[in-house]
Amino acid sequence: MTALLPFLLIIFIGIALYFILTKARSIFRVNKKWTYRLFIGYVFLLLIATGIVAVLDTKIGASLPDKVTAKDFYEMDNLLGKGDLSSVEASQISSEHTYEVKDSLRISSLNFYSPNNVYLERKPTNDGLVEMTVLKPVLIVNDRDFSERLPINKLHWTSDPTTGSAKLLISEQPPTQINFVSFKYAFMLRQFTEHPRRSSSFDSSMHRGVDIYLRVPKNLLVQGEDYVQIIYVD
Amino acid sequence: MYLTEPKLIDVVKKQFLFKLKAYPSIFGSLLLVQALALVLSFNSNSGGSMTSNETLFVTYSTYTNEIPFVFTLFWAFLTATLLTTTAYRNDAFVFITTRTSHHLSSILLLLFASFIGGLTAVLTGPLLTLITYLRKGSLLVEPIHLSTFIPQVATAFAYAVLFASIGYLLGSFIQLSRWFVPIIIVVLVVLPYLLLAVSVVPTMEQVIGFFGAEKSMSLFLVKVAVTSLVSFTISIVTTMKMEVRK
Repeated sequence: MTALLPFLLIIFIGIALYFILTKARSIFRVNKKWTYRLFIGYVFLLLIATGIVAVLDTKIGASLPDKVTAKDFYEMDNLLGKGDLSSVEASQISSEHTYEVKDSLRISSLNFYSPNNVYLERKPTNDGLVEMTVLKPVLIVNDRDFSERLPINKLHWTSDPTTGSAKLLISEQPPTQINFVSFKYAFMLRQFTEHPRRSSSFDSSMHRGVDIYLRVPKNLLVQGEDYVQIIYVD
Repeated sequence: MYLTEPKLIDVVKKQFLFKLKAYPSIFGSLLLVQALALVLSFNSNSGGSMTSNETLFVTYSTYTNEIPFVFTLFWAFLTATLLTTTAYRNDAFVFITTRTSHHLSSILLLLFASFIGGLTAVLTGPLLTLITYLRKGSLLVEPIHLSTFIPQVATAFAYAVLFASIGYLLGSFIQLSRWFVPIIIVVLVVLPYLLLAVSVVPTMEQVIGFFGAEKSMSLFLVKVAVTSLVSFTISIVTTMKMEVRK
């Protein structure tokens, strides 16, 4: 029954419009001045609202997250997978660290539901240093980048001087709640103002936890443990 | 032979101004339709929620001016259809008129009404934005730029003209003969359903896609202009031989 409601509404409006434009024309004619005054008042109201929103834009628009596409989302994966860390934008990097290491490195994560990606690049030499780049988590909702609102997981580096082994632990992502309300112009009105035009007006979201890029000594023994996905970079 | 030979363009101009003053119901009905659409839009939003790795919870809702815009198109269609009815036609005979000048002034009126309808439909966006902002306290919204505002008004105007021209064409057919009513219903409602049943959906998709999937604005405007011109021309030609007062 609820599916029929839009059709019933359209039929109702059709009948009402038919009545207004034919049978009730005399009412509008008698009150011609008032009809036009009311209409001009309505247009004036719309223009005032437009003016206020244009002024408010500086306030509202300031918190507007950047527009991004799914391509941007996967672009970083491609760059990291190819070992092209230098091409990753600085704004996507959270922090960089260098640690001394001897023989082995164990990596584990506490993120049971969403394992972290660890990109591993072997250096040509055994310089005894692990260069770690931590990449920011990503959250895209309806083509808007909300990544800045995500907290970054804490990383714990420990090393045992006696055994010569080191351990990297990625802590759990702190609980985060994001609520927002947005406004979009009608789908057909956006036909020529959105590039590239989206195939539909449905909502979509994409999320990725914190990723880590490691440059390790040539012969370092690396072991991935709980909830870690190691991606070897050639 | 007269001392002053009235020019068609002057007659059309005068009749257009006369109709503009004489038909306040057109703009009164636009106001009512958009006001109703705005009220419906206040509580109509799409949205959802997502959770990721059990620690991230996102809830969002999106408001649009979809309803005011669709209602405006419906208004343009119905206004054009009703403008061809006997009541409106007879009004025109208060002034000295020919079929051609009557049609041309009506088309001019529809173009003007479509522009006003399209403009106000786009302007419902900022009004809804403002109301949503006041109600919700915060809002993510695209800033208003002339570079997006003008194409939006042009798009809304073009779609309104398209719907008005189709309405005018159908209205003219109905004035020729009431038998066109069932034919139009069959063509517009029954046939698409039957075609859907035999999986010939692309036919309808192609018709919608012809305008809706167009990426070039200039090409879209040309398509709308040509379709409207053809619709209006057919309307004029088919009703040219009708009795003066039927």
